[in-house]
Amino acid sequence: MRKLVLSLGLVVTAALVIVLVAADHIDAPAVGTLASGSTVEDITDYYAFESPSNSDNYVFVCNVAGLSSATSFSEDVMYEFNIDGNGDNVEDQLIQVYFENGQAVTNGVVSADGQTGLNSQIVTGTTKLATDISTSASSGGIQLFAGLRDDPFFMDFFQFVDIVNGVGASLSDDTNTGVYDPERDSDPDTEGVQPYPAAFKADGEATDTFAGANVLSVVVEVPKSSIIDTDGKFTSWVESKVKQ
Amino acid sequence: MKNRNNIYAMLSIMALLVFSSCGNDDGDIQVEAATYATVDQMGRPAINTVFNFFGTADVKNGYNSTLPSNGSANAAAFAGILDALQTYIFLDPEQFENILGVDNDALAGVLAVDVLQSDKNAATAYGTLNGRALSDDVIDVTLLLAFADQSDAGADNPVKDGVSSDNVDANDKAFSSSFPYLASPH
Amino acid sequence: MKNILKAISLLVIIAGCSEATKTEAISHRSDYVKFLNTTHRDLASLKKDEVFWKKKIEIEPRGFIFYEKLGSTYNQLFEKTREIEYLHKADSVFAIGEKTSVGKWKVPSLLSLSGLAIKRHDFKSSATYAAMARELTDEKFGPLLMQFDAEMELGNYKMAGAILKKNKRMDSFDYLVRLSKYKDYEGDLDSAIFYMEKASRMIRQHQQERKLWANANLGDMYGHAGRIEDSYNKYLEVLSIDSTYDYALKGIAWVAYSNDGNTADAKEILSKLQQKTAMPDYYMTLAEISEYEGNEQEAEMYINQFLREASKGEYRGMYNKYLIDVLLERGEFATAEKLAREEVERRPTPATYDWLAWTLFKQGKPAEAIKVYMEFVEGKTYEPEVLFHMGLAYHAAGISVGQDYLREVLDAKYELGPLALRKIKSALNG
Repeated sequence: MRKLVLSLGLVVTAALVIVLVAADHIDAPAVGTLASGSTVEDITDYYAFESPSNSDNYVFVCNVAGLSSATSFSEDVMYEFNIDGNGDNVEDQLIQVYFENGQAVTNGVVSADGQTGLNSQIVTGTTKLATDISTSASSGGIQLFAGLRDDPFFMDFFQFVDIVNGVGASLSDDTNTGVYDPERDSDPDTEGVQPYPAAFKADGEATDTFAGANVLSVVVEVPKSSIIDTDGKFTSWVESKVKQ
Repeated sequence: MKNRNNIYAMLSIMALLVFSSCGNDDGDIQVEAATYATVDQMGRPAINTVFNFFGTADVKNGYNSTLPSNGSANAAAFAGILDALQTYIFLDPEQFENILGVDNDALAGVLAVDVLQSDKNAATAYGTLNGRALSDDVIDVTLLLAFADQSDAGADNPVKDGVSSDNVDANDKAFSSSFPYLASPH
Repeated sequence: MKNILKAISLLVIIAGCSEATKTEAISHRSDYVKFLNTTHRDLASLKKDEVFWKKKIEIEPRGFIFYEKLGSTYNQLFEKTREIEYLHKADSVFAIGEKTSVGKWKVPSLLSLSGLAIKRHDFKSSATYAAMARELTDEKFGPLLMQFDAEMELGNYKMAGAILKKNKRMDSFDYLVRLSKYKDYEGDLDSAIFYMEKASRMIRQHQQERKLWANANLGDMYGHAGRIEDSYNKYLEVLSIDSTYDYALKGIAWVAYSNDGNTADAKEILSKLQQKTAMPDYYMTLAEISEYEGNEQEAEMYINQFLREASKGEYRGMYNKYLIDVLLERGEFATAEKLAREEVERRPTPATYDWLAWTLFKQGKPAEAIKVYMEFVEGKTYEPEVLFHMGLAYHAAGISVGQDYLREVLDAKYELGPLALRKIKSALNG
């Protein structure tokens, strides 16, 4: 379950309210601090897997801007895959993907020396691979793609919300506190008791909330041999970072 | 109108002057590489949605900007939320033991560090805590870890089966076997 | 003493006049001619979004996020086309999103509803939605800023100021633009510009809407500060990023008319804009320019076109200010006064009280007008247009401070426009 839906906080587009009468000032945009939800800064999903086309390679995927119609990346936002090969939860290597002159760029797997933590700078390596948006490219054993793709995530999100709303209601009522109760009414406006669900929908009745939606996707494939590990094991995570 | 309020205007002009003189102090121009600062991060799927569903904004935002090396700070809050979810479906969080044989505190301790484990030498499957492939049903895995009680106390629980899968088992579009693997956009 | 003052004011006027005639034109047709025939290209993609989210809702009627997405699409369609139906559609869709969701999930819909209410000039509802959102979330900052917007419109300046003071976040774009707005209300235009510039420097490449918005605002603010060339260049900058950004093109029309006296180009730009959108606003500026040119017949035509559009029911009083102006010109005093009193009731601000007082003044009730100005307007605003009306009313009533106000607003001659300048001059000379 990814983060998109939670970070949706505020889906309002920066509503540019032009005051029709006052003619002088344009009203302030609807607040955007919470409005992140679906911008290129917002990671919806992270994947890391053995390459389906070459078992000597590993693939890292960062998806952003879920459920939005965003189609372009930003030269002010970098995506940084972090690799920890010794289990101390501090990154030892980075794969940075950034954007310049309308192209996506990566310097491949580079050392994280001096660039750990929340702030970092672009690290140059032996490879520099640049590619047009939505076009794959490869060089030195590394492959890079950045562009619009189908959102690979699937879930009946709204049934989950209904179930969990029941938990929330149970924690705030006086009787049966914290426990499922089929008599608890989810919709007081409708006649009769509309109970909260305590189960997901059956096979065939469940709905994939994310069907038909796109994401902006950053995909990097590198040789397994370039990834630092301990007995073949490593951990990884991805960050979106904004140019200061 | 230029100065609608003259005193304010003068004050702010002074402020502007101070600012601009500060800016001009440096004689030598140094080109420094730009710094990028984290706004969002993600390791394992599912964490924020499940464990911060009731969480306060501070917990959620803290999670999004807490370095993995400091990640276990949220473990207690996560365990509390697991307890509440299990209580709701008549499970006993005190006795709960998931399919990995792990109790809530231990599970929360693992999940609170938001990194994805990988093993280069084994096939990728989120269910075995080895990476995350595009087709992995991470929701079902999360539900199993959170609700499939293996303890005697949960054996006859009628409700838990209803929350063991969301019954959406695959993506709406087939993945490709060649790079970049994700399906083409709609 | 009075004579000396009169002499000084005359000097000011003469200086003002000669300045106006000597200044070289700032606007150049070659800069903006390429923006005259632009069309709104991206409507197709918004229409596609509309179809997509409607389909998602059909499949999943509980999908409150889908309603938010659809509402946001309608909102953007309104911004592009200015067709008021889109505003109402957005409103009803967000309302369903709010009803369909629970607890903190309602917050995005509520904040959107708050923003839409401001656009509809329903400021009390805007404040109510913002307060509901604040109750439901731990992230109070967003709802508080939306409440600030509503309080400012409602004339609750103290409360608005307190919100800013208690929630200071100088690294937030959203905060800085509101601080700028508040400074402008306080009459501190330089600080207002300073904070807007600071906010605009924080904008990143992927925040294009904000970039356009902040720069268009800076264009206005530079103009108010008498920095016409900076203003003009800002508008051009906005248009160079988005050639369909009508608000900036309208700003250029004002430079051409108010500063350069190039009424032909100003009218051409405004006519093109009027053809592109359903928004009736441009007719009013067109009418003003025609009147300035002495072409009463043409002015009358534009006003009729404005009336036809703006009195449509779906605008629900959004154009009351202009309607009051037109009604006064036509001697329909009772209707004008009724509208003005409704506006004061809806939001008792110095500006709405000015509409009321001005209405009273125009129908020959100077004593009543002065009473309203003294009690509700004087010392409470620095808006040039309000001071201009108040100055004329005081002056006509023989209150000497009226002349001072009129001389003060001469500073804002660009913002008020040549027609107002003409009226000020004739009052001061008379």
